[in-house]
Amino acid sequence: MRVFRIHKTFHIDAIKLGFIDASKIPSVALITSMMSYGSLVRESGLDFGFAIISTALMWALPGQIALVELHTAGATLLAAVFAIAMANARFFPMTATMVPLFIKGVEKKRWLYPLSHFITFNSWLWVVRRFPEFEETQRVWYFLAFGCICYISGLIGTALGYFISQFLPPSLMLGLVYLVVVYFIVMLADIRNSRALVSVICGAIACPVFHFVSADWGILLAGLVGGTVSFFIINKYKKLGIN
Amino acid sequence: MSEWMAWVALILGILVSFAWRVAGVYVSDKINPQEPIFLWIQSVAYALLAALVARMVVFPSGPLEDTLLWHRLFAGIVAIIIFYLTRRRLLIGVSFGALVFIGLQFME
Repeated sequence: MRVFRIHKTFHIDAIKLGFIDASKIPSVALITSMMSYGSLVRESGLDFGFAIISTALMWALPGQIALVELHTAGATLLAAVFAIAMANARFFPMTATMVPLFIKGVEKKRWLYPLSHFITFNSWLWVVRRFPEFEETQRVWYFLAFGCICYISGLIGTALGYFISQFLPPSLMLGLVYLVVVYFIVMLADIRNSRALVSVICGAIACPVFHFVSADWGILLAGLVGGTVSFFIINKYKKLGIN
Repeated sequence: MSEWMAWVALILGILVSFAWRVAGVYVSDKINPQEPIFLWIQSVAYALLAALVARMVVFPSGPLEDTLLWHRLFAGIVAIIIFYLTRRRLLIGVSFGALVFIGLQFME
């Protein structure tokens, strides 16, 4: 990944870099993953309005997929809403730890609420990784630019998936569905911060363990237990003076 | 669930999802990034993301359910190797991983 020279006073540099970063692999991954969602919605018999409104307003793929799959499976309303709440619970720790990093760039604090809508897996990983390069007041502009490109890509992908994925060969479609997973794997493998890396490893190991305990609560439990264990591991090594 | 109920679930789901983000914004004001609690929440966030990805690889749902575990793992490992061999070019590494995955589907 290239390191850009950023002028400390111009927001335009932060906006530009946000556009550049997002228009590469993040937008490709969003188009392909939302295509798989669009095609899932069409196959389940729901209309295009449902597909595009859910992408625009929920803006959280795992929750959207859970909803459509449960609709197809004939689950109850309560089960569907519960599954969405579980699938999207990650937004709480993600938002809580991301907002303090750019809050100085936001004058009116009420704007943080609409801004938080653009916090996703994708934007969180990129923004947390790019932030050390920026002044605190510039960060929000990078985040906004990045988020806008991702948002537009996601909407385009949903429409493409709904209307054209049926004409694509199934193996190509599988590759497109899996591309986003590959992208996330590489992003997580490339984390340089040792603290974050320990958490990622603990979370990944905890996932299969807790999946067998409960398919509904598995991810959340794995995150809580894996994250807590990694937190204590890191603190222990810090005390020993190993960073 | 009827189609009408799916819309109700969608609206409630949108509210629930936004509520998580709003709760995050609300809490963010109360914690200092230097405090242990912040670092703990961040560790949980990373672990949650990793768990989510691990589930997509090991226990996928939807169309990936019919693919083989070793295909999924192999494609991921190839992507990481290519990524580092090309001096961390994300687009090349990820595209290669996806192509390998498609290629493996033809082998079966």
